[in-house]
Amino acid sequence: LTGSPTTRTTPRGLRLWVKLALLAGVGVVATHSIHLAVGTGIAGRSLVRAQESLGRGIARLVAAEAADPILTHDTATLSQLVVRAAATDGIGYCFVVRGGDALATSFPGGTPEGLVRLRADGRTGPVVVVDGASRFLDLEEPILGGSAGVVRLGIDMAIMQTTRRSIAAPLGALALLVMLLGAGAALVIGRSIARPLDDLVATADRFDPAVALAAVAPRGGREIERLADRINSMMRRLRAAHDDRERVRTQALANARLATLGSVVAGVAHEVNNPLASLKVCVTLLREGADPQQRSADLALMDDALDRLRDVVRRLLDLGHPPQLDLAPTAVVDLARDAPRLAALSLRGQGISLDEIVDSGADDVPVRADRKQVSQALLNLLLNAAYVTPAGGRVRVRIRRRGDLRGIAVEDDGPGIPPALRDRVLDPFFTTKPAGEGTGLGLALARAIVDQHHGALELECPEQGGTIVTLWLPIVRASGPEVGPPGTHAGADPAPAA
Amino acid sequence: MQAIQVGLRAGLSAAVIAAFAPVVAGCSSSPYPEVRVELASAPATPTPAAPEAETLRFSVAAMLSPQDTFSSYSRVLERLGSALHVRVELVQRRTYAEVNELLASGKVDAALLCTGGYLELERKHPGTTEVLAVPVIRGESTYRSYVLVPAGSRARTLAELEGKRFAYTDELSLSGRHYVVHLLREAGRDPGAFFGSVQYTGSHDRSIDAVVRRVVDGAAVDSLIFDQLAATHPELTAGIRVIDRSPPFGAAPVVASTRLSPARRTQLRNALLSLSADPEATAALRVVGFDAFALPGPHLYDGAAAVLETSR
Repeated sequence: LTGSPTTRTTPRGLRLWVKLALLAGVGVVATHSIHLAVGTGIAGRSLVRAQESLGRGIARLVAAEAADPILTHDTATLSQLVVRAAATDGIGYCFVVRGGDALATSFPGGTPEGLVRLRADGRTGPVVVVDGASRFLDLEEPILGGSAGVVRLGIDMAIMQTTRRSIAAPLGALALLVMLLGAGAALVIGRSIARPLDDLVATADRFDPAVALAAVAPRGGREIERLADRINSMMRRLRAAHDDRERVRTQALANARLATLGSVVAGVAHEVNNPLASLKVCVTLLREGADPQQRSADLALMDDALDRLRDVVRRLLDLGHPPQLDLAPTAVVDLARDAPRLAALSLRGQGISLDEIVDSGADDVPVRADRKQVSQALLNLLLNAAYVTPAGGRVRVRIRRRGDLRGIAVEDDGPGIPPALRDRVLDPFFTTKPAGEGTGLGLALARAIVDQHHGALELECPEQGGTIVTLWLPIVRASGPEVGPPGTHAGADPAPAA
Repeated sequence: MQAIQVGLRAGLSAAVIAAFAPVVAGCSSSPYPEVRVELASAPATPTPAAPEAETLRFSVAAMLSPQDTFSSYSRVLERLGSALHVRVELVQRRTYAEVNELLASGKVDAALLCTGGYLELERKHPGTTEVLAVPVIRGESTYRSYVLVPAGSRARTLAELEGKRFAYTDELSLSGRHYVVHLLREAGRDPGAFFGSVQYTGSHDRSIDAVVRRVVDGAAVDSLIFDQLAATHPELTAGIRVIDRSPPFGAAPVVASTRLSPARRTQLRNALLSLSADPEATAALRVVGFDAFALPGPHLYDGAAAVLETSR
């Protein structure tokens, strides 16, 4: 959480509110389109049926009026009747058929053959007669039940088409208007829904439990307000947890510092106490007027005690103010051979054999190191190993490789480090040696040197016993003098732990 | 960006669909089948007449409206044709005079004439026709003229219809016109000036209808038609009151053109007289109010002729 960027999240696809707006817009348009299409279709059909009903009424009237002229062979009246009927607005033609022949017609030159034969197949329902762009709804009405013939009436559908289009035009405009309004409303609503969510996302992005953050203002509807409330509550809990953890960590650090200080003070007191006691005795003897021989011996003791005090102070200074390093690319193998050479004599005196083992993984990649300081640190490790290794045991020096680090491991056959002490063995003046046999600064100094090299000191206690202390150093890279601090490099092995 | 373009395209398409949906729907096809017909094509030629079997052209004077005549007499003539083994064609005209002309010119072979029409035909074209038979109604071959007024009318006599609207049936109709003219002449009134207005309805049923609808204040009709209507549709005649009944006149005769051969006329007479033996024909005759056909008596039309004499 603490490491998350504070920049606003940028989605790759469409924003939520755009999607909502599009969804709503498409929904409005689709619904409206279906409504319009179906509604206009129904209206159009109703119009046709209404027109048919009206036409059928006219046809029925003509059929009733035509009966007498037909029965009395009054063709003049019959012709007059059909011509008058055809002259009515919206009627395209009218004629009377009996026995397959047109008795009277409104067509000036006679009824078209195709029109007379149109119902030769016996159909009696409405038929749409199409002639180019002209359309007529052809209706048939029997006269005296068909025994005196039929009246045929053609309703000009141009009127219906005109009426339909006159309805369709404003409906189309209305559709566009509704769609625009719907799209606009969808945009506004979609944005109003998405904005509180965007605020929540931005707040989540910016959230840092170490920094006090203003709570999200609840808005955007009940559900989003509840979400904002939950996020605010979660942020408060995270902040409280972070504060608790910081308090505990600070307390632990203080405790560790106090423990280290206590250890240092106890070590210093212990180291200083013996020479001081010697000095006190010598001073007392000198006051009592010792003979010259004794006086000379006392002075020699005092000088030795002062040397020991000076040595303690120097070591403390070395620990507090490490010397300036003289770094140079150095082969790990060379580093691994320096210290054993110095310690060989001491180890042989204790009946311990020293094995210098170079792993097959060793390479020529140099590390950047102060050869003298690294040799000092390695010597401290070898002397510690020799101390815990019983006579006849072995101490091994081995080259190790882990990613961008190269290590020099010192392995002993000692009893290992009890788990309870592992966290303290690197503290200054911590020692398991009897009083007067060690200062407790060897490992602490070794770690200080390794830290200066941006390396690491790793302690391992295998189950079979013994201790492996590895001094890890970063290699010299082609693009730069050295790699960064240990633990930041990717490698096959886990990062070393100091 | 691509997603936005896709979205915009979808929105644009939807907009176009929405805008044009009603237009498309407005142009949608009708719910009826469509047939292409070239209206400028050649007109239909009349169907050539098929060689027909022998046809007897029979006319019925317009005592009823053409439609009622057609529906009432078609069945009777069909049975007559069946008895004669010929096809009988019903020929109608609007007036008695036109039917008389058809008979006189030989364009019809026989006809059921109104008594007045028959007497006029005999007067104008004597010997053109021969009476074959007369209808029998409830045992009589006579009928009367009824003078009708609406039931709510104050008129109790013909004289009280002076200045009113009156309906005659036909110029030649005995019961529908001549009888009323005869009464007025006998009363010393001028038939041409007595009524406020006069109209000719063309048939007795239309005259009755005109009185029912109060289109006229009075009318003179054939008693047979009125009684038949009162029997079949009493609700129609309930609004009518008869203020005058004429003496009986000889009923409308069936005449044959003397152009027909005597043998043919005899066949036709026999067929008419024997219709009552045909159950289907009897049922058809009942529809027009006849029981049967019979030979006419020797002085059947004397009374009618006298009335006509005074009414001319």
